[in-house]
Amino acid sequence: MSVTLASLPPAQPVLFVELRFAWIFAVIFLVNWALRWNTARKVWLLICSHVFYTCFFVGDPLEFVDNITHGRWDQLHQGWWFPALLWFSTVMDYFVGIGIEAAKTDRGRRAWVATSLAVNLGVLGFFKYYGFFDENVRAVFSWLGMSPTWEPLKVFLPWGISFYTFQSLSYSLEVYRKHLPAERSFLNLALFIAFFPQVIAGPIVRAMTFLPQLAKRVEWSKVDVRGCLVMFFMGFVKKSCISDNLAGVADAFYAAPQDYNGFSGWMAVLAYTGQVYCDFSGYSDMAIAVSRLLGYDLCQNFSFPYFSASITDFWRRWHMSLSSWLRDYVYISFGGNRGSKIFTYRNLMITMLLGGLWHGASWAFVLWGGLQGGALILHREWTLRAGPRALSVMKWFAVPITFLFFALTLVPFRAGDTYMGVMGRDNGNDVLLPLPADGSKPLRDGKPAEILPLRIVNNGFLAEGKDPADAAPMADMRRNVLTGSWHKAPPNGSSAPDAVGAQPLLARRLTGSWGTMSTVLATLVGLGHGTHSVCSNWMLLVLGGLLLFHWLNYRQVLSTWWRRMPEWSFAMLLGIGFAIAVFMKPVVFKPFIYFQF
Amino acid sequence: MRAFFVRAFRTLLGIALFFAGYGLTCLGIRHFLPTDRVPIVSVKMDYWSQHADDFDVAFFGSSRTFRQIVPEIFEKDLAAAGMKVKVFNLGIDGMRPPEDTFYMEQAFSYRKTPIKIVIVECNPIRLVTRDEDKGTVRSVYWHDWPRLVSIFHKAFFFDNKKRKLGDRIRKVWFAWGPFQEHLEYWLWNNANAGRGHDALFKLLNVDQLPPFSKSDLGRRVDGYKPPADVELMDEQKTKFYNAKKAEVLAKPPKPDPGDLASLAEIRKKNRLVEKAGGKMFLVVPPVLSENNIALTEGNGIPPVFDFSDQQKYPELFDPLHRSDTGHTNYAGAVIYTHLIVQKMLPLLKPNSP
Repeated sequence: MSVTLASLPPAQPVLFVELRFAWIFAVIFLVNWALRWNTARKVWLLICSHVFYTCFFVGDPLEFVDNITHGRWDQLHQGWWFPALLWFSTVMDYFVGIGIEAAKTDRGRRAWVATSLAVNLGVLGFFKYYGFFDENVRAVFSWLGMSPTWEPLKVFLPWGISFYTFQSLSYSLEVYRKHLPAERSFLNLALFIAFFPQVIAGPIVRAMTFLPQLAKRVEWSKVDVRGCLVMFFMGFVKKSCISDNLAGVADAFYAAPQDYNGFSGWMAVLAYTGQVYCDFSGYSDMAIAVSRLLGYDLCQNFSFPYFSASITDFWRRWHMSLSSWLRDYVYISFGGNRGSKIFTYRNLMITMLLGGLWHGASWAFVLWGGLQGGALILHREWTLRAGPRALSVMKWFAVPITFLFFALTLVPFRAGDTYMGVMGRDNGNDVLLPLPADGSKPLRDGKPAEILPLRIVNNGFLAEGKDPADAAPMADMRRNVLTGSWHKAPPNGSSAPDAVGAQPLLARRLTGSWGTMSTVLATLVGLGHGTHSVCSNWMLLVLGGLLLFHWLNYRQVLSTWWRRMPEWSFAMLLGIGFAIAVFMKPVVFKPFIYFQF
Repeated sequence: MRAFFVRAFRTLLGIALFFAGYGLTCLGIRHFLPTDRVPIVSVKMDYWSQHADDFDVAFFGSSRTFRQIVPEIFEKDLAAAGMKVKVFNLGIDGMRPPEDTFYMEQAFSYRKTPIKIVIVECNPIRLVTRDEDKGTVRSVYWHDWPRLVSIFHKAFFFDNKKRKLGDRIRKVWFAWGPFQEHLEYWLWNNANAGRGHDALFKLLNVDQLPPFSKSDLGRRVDGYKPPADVELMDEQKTKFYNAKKAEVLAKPPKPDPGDLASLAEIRKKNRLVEKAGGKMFLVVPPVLSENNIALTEGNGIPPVFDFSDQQKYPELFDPLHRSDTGHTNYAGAVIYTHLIVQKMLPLLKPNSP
């Protein structure tokens, strides 16, 4: 049976902020602690982790089994077989670990680790970068005046593959470096790779951190329940109340940056900077809290990065699990700073370019990585050259400069993410056609293209419609999709067909919109022609309030008072807190930004 | 052992206090804030709330009512029969039971005088939320306790037939997913989800699409808006339509007496209409589908006009009068409205309304 028969769009992952996660977690949690034997708990968690991960691809498990047993292959979700990749990675790395340890020569050890690297990165590369590669090869061909004849493959990016591949690789690399003995327990290794709180979007837990925890018995008495609940609550607030609300401002601006004035541009840049941080660190907080409630500790992923005094410091505090992974396995593997200055800078740049590419197969992400690498080099050079007086003066401006630099580098990160396109047809193939900003119908070879029943893509997501699209409503739909409001009636009573069901389009990371990027930058420096305001001046107050709250947290003013509260008042206050958080969150959930990576 | 019980008691007390804090805060917020604004629904209800007593006849249903029953034609046909009435179409795209019952309750609460005629589109309770409504205010606002109970009945009490245990378990499993989605919406509704966000965006004047357009009230401000596709179906669509039509004709669906929860919902609506002083008529719209709702009047069920038979009403299924398998175009809507009046007239008492 061919997998291409599967006709339903890929299923959606369960978000930690959804109620259904609460049910699922309640069952996992209660059974986990009801079991007496540690091995039984681990088996239970492994089963749950794989079922949890598999459901991201197959949807309802019983429906899936029903469809398989009745041979209804067309009723399966695309990518339903992707969970097998997780097993494949686990089994391979299990044997690679044993193979490395058993190898008697360095050559043998290298061969084993090379196998792990080649296979893991090969799988990741194929699924993540095939589309990017294909697109660029086609661009080169057409630049040379040739037309490529091969048909593009439909490749979908499995959820979490970037995260678990790096996690799995950390195991084989640590065994290779003799920092860790090969794990003889397949159960432990499988649980380490598939552990459900972090399998989709990290933190990228290192084998050295997690495997020793699995060797020990977990004790309920050691679980800091109050700390976990507060951490989960803070993650929920960051994601649902702050990030999703800030997204409304950023999305409105990036939907049509040419319409807005400079103030709006800066508000959107700041809003997006807050959105990214709260989205990802909120997710990480919830993942860590959930994991701790089950007795396992995951590594910290963020440490107030927006208060960093330099870009070097920033990268020690931002997405720490990825940056330390890149430092230990890429930067150091390339030689680190054990050579000339140029050699070190080269390594820095390679590491950050790869870091950028890890985020998505797009030149915009490569540019983003390049900017980070360039800044790291500049900072290193500055610290070597600047005198003590310059350094002491700079101390006062270091934090805002670092923050502003990072906020501005998020312009390509976000603009590169705002590809707008529709699914069209060309010679019988489904193709992505860029959607003109004026809302006119896309062209193919100078003629209006054949558009499939309205499917508009953005940010790697696809909104699918019922009726064939015509040119008129596209401008409205473009905005609807970008602002996440495709369910809303189009303005002015126009008769656009409703776009239904935003579904992730995992075919590839969509290429960046350079036009959007340049328009945003022009708006920021006051060269834009837009006059609209994306929000009122009150937004500054909101952002200031958030910054103050974050600073108080940074200074640990808010970190412990709740520990001193009596149990009854803590429980009640947490209930009040959740009620206010739910009240403040938008009804429509926004997908986690880092799910797409 | 005593320590265990003390710990268990403290844990349970903590959980109870958590929910107490949560619930009381939700109630407090609810008390002080206005209700949610729902695209199309709020526009119609706002207008109706101010003019409810101006109208004698109301239509409730989905797009097959909103876009297919023309108040202007309805008024003219009744006027020709000597009955002068004013009609408002309260149909909303995608509105199915039990949302329509909630909406009807709200609509009748604004009336001070009795209503005369209420036309309700006949649909079973929809358990699975439409994709475009998932996680939106539209899916949340109507989830009160009675609606949740209706959904629960629909999900877990199927019919009076004897079924094998395995079959029942399967059905319960498949129903759990959609039901828990409704449960989540019910919790969101009671927890005022999204209302703080809306208030914040209003305060900050964040540039958003205007989802509330008065054009949804229609040209005559009678709640009717023509179908999105006023033109004819294109060749490809017509081909697909004809194939489907032939398929349904060759293999007509078995008559479906309706599930218990959906029938209860119809009876509830009938009682509401009677309480509001009106007479209710159920209408089965002209749809090409695998379902064939076959209800008969009596036992709390009002008169039913079934237009889903393509042999009986060929004009409603003529491709020239359709925009797709589920909807007519404007020409079809005009015919459909005439037919409803024709069916209804003999059932109205000579001097009413």
